Amino acid sequence: MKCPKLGKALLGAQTFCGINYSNDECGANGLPLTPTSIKILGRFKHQLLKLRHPNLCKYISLHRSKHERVVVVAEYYEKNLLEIINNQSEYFRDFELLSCLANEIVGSLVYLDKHDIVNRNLSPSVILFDENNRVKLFEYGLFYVTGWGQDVKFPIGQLKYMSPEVIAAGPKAKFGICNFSSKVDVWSVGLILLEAYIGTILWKELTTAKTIKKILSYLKFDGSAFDIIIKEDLNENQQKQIKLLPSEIYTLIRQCLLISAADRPKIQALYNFRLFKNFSKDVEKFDVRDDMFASTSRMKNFDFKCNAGNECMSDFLLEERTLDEIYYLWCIAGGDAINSFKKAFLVRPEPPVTTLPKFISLEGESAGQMRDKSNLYDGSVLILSQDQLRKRLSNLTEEDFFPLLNSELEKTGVSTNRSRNSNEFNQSESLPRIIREADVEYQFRRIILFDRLLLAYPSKQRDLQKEARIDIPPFLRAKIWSALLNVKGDIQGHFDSIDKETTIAIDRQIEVDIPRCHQYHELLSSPSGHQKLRRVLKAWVVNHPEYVYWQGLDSLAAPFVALNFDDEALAFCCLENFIPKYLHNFFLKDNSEVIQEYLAVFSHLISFHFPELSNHLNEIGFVPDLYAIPWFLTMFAHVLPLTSLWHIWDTLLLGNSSFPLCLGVAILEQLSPRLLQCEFNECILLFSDLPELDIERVVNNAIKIFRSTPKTATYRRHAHVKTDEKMKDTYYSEEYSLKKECLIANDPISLSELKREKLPRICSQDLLELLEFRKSSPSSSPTKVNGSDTSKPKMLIMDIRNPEE
Amino acid sequence: MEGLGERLEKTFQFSYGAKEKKQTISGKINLPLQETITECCHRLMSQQNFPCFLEDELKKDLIIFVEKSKEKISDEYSESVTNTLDDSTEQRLISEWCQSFSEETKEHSKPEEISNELVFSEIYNQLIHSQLQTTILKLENSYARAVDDLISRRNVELNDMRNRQSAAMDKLATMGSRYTDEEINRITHQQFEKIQMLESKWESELTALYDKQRREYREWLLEVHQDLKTGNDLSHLLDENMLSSQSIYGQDNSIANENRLEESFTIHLGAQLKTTHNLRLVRSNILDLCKYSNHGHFAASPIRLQNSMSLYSNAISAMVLIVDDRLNSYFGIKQDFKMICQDSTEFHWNDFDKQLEDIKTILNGKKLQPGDCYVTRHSNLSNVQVVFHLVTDMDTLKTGDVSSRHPVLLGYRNIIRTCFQHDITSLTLPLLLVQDVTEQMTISWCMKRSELVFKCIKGFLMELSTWSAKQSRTVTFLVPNGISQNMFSDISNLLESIFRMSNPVVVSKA
Amino acid sequence: MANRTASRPANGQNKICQFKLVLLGESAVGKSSLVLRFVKGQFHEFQESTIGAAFLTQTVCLDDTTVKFEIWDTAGQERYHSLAPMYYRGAQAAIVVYDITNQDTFSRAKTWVKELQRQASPNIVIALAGNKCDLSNKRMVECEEAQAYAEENSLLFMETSAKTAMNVNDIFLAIAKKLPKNDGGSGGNGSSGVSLERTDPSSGGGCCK
Repeated sequence: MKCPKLGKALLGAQTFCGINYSNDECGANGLPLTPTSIKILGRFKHQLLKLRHPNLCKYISLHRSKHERVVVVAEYYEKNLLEIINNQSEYFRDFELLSCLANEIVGSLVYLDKHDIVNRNLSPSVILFDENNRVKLFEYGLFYVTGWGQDVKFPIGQLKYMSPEVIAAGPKAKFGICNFSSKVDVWSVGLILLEAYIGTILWKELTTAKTIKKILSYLKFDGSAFDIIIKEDLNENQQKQIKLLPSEIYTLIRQCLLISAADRPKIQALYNFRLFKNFSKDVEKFDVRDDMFASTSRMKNFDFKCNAGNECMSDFLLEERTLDEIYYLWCIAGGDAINSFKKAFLVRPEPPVTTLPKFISLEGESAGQMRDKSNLYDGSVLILSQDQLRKRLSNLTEEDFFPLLNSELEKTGVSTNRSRNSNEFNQSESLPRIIREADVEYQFRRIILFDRLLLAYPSKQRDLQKEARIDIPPFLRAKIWSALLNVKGDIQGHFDSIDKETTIAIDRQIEVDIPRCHQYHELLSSPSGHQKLRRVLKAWVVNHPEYVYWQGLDSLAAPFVALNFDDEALAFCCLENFIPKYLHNFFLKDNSEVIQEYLAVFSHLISFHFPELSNHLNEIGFVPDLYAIPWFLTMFAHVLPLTSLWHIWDTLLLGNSSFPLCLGVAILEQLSPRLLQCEFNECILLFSDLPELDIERVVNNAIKIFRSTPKTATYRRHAHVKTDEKMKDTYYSEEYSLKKECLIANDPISLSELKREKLPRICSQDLLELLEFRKSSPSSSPTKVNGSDTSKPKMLIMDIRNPEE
Repeated sequence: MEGLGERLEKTFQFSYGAKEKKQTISGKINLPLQETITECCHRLMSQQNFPCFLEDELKKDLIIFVEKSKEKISDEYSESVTNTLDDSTEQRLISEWCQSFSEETKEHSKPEEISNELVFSEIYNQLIHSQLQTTILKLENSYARAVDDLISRRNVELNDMRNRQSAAMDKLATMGSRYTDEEINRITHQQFEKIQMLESKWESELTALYDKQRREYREWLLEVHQDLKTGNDLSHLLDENMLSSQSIYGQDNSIANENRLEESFTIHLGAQLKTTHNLRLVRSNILDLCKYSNHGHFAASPIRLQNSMSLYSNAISAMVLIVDDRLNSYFGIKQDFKMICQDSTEFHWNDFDKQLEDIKTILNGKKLQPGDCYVTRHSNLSNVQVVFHLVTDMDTLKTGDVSSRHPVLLGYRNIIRTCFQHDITSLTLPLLLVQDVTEQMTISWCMKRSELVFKCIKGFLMELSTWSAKQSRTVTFLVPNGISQNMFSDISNLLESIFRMSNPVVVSKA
Repeated sequence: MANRTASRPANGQNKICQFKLVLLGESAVGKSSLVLRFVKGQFHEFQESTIGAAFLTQTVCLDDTTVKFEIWDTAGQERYHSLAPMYYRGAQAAIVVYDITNQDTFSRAKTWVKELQRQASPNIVIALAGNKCDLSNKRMVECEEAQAYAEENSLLFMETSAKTAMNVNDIFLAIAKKLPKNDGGSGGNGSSGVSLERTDPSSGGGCCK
């Protein structure tokens, strides 16, 4: 699952436009049609991003731009087969090289076929070669990603390499499902191998119409087009060459060019031909997980390269980083793929003022619009220059690439041994998050550091937690979260074994909730996103018969699905570990006790920290039951956009199950100036559309609140009691309910009593701690705080017992 | 794996065991598969209670079964399209493919496709963002003065004639009954014809001037651009008064309007993800917004500079003009608007009348109906580059009963959608759906109307920013001059409550 | 659950009545959309699901009376059913919503009506709304069928569309008209001509007398 390394690869970008549904067209469900670029993006992240095969250029990223334009970024090399045929026409006369070429092309197509991808876009110009002359297929996902062509107007594929049945189906033959199999690619392979061998591009002089005529004319014959081509299109010399072909290759090409699709072998059948008998055919191995959840040894693919030559150190080290990481850094270093196209004049959009319609009818039909010619398909590849990025990272040293992790020796303080730039580095840590996230060098170091910690997972889990308290680099958030959630083991096997196909009672509910769940998000609103969310939700429901689906579970699952869009199993396992940790028993069929207790404790916390606000809210009857159920049932995922939620959960995942209560209090605190002025109605209206919040402040205040909350104040009977936790908790993530010395736990009060009381009960130890008689334990907050907190609580202790007692 | 499209249910059979005790089990499989083979295998195993040692065998069979089924589907499809091939189908296929390639791919499309307009717009955009901008504005300014001059002379002459004619008529009137009605009619008619002749004389003179200026201007720009490209010295073109630009740009001379009231708001829309937009509430005459006060000197205006610079940008401004259902510019606000368009030469687009003609062609005899909207483009107006002429039945709008489904509001929705699709980031629209104050417009009428339009616009903004959430827009709600200051502040409060103003920044208590 | 006091400026001519209205019905039939269309005049295709309940208010002017609706918009999922009594207790009006393109939602609506007739305040005004009538080409519930059912049970009935705003204001207005607005024996502070009724859900059965 790990992305290939950068090596000598280039970053190549291509762009095209999806069909623009300009009017208010609706789909079968009565909802507006999903924009094509969103559908395309969904498919890309669902499938293309996952593909990795040594003979396929790795897809790296797809961005949406205006007017349904998308930009695809992929691994790229400048050398291609077309060039070789044109410039070194005799290169593939060498049978060994030719067999090798055939093997690599066919092998990559077999792999694609395994993933149900029909290429339909094969031609010598998309067969690239890397520096070791290994085949690297390019642009192989275009047919798939466009919904088998239905989302774009332009035809996919190079006409000349299309099989007769593709031509006969016509350019408008577009369906929701793919009607073609790998056999259309087999045809192209035959033609390409033939051209490679004879060193000539066929039918160069034919017009589009004549090419179509020619290919269609084959349909009048049985057998192989190979025989016809030899007769009609090859000169005497070329015909002689054909006679020299070893029979294995000859048969292969001849079979590929069988005119009837029914007779033509599938790609898998082709792979079993004699020609390939000496090549390894295991395509399964490329999909075996080798990340932190590998079910096999991870050491297998582990190699540490050292710099042998005198190349530039940072360049060499960069090549050892993965393609997706490099691209991520390229983007934050100011790279913008769509802008690069404009700068290179590869995309010349008409100014919007010129493309306006001249007339718009009441029904919304517009007329008199100029066609923007820049929307035509242009397969040009733009090479994204890495200069800027390399310059930005040129100060890095070898130690920066290989930081030492020796925290086990140090019990407190900074956990990793940082290089000489560490001062500067520490300074960065105190900058606002938004600045840190845009700082290339900072992100690079964080990625390197976390990457190494994750490599060691689960053994370096504590260090990982400590580092996560500083911040979480967005690039690795998915993996870091799963580590924080303690996801382990063969997650794929676990997920695969759950039935998500059989109809269950809750299907209708899930079906109506999904199209309403975070639909502003481009991945979650795509058909692929809907499908993923459905599968993850069903899997959870099926796998947890003791619980039920409550509306809100969809919102809770959504962040994990969005974050792990190319890894459903991981999304599922994160959800599965998240719920017991923070929402233990919230999804019971009868969850009212659990929720009522939670809300009562929440009320107490408001009173404890903000008595004035609490009094006001109680006075006007604005109780948490009215607004906070969606907050806590979804851990804010229902009320906050994902962009805010990432940062909330970055911290939430470091705390224990009472930390979310502090987040809730912090949100109220931020809104309190308005709440204090509002009567009941205004308050509740304010919460019906939660106003924009300053998330960084919410998080920081929640931490402060958490640190100043007596542990016993958050005691809940229904909190999760951990049983089999081997990993030692740090103080802040520990569940207090477990502590033996806690008196309150031993003498719990009833829910009705809890609800009646206005303030939390705390135990004597907590009181002493509040009075600072006891020194507060170190590392008692989810994130690192520099300097000591000087604000000491002021305390007045009142004895309210009856004199008799 | 996509929820859409029909699925084909197939029955999969799996046999195991020795010959005598052979057992067969079947399961339903939907193609295309929405689960992985492994998942499907697990599912069948648990549903049928299979012993686990059969897993590998089952999986193998399953793969073969799925492959075979898929192959069958695609082979049948291929056969269906290749079998029906005859000459006419072949011809159709050829033309379809050719069309598809030549109209949709750059490689096969005609090479000269870059239009002159695109070239001109790129050149203009480049020059207006260069050091030559002042020079260009000065040139435009001198052209505008020439037009202004001509218009003044026309107005003097026309006024003169009108005065003379009315004096003559007065004289006739004082002479009492010496002239018959018939004669008076004849004289009136003659006078009218004279005026018309004079008008058309000036009209053609003006048109000639516009054409000449436009031609010269465009040629000049192309030339300068060529010089710039070839590296010729352009210093002679640079304005020597550049240094004194302070005085040039010093005053903002868009219509100075003591009646004008203005308030600005920032709002966040959306339940989860919020988009930020800017709203303005302005009291002004709508035409004053697009008029340069003293057009003869607009080169000095920073607004003019800004307009020129954003003309071909991705942030253009538009306004809505509410018009009747006749596509002309003879009366009322339509005529006033046309006059403003003619204050100076339109260098970039066809002149206003020609644009209306184009629209007439598009309509092809169809009558305009309320809610329809025609669009004109302008480079010589202040503040806007695009005008949406929203057709409506003026009379019903003046009465109170307008629902959220009224054509004019649907028209607003179409307009806002067009704005979203074409990078129009700033839109000005009449809040009360009328452009003048009348007696019917009581306080409650105004408040009700404002509430309706605010709510609708809010809804449209939310709905239309669903998938294009990033860009923020400015919507200016315009109320006519006749609205009192009190009413203005009532409307402003209403706006605040409907759009639920975002939090004022709370100074943290540290 | 909510026990709060309301104070309203006594207005010489105008009577101000405050009513609690609850929306009930199956998931995704458009309850929230109806309320948002009524209160905020907006419509969102991808309206988020309601968890627990949401609350909004809207004032309607009826001749000489100002009717203020306190609207409780409930979650549709069957499971949240247990919470529903908390919301409809003390409600003077209810809108039971179904989706005309889905027969099951109509059956569910009937169940809601039964429950209201059994459990809610005896004088509760119930309206039945067949929503999504903009999708009439996918209609599964005939208008006549619903109409007949409504008549049998003396419910107000309208087919509505939150998307096009059709009949949305009308149904709320019809309810406002049907609600009793005479002011005898008000439970509020009893200032003349002003009906002030703080509905205390726990006491149940409160109605604007």
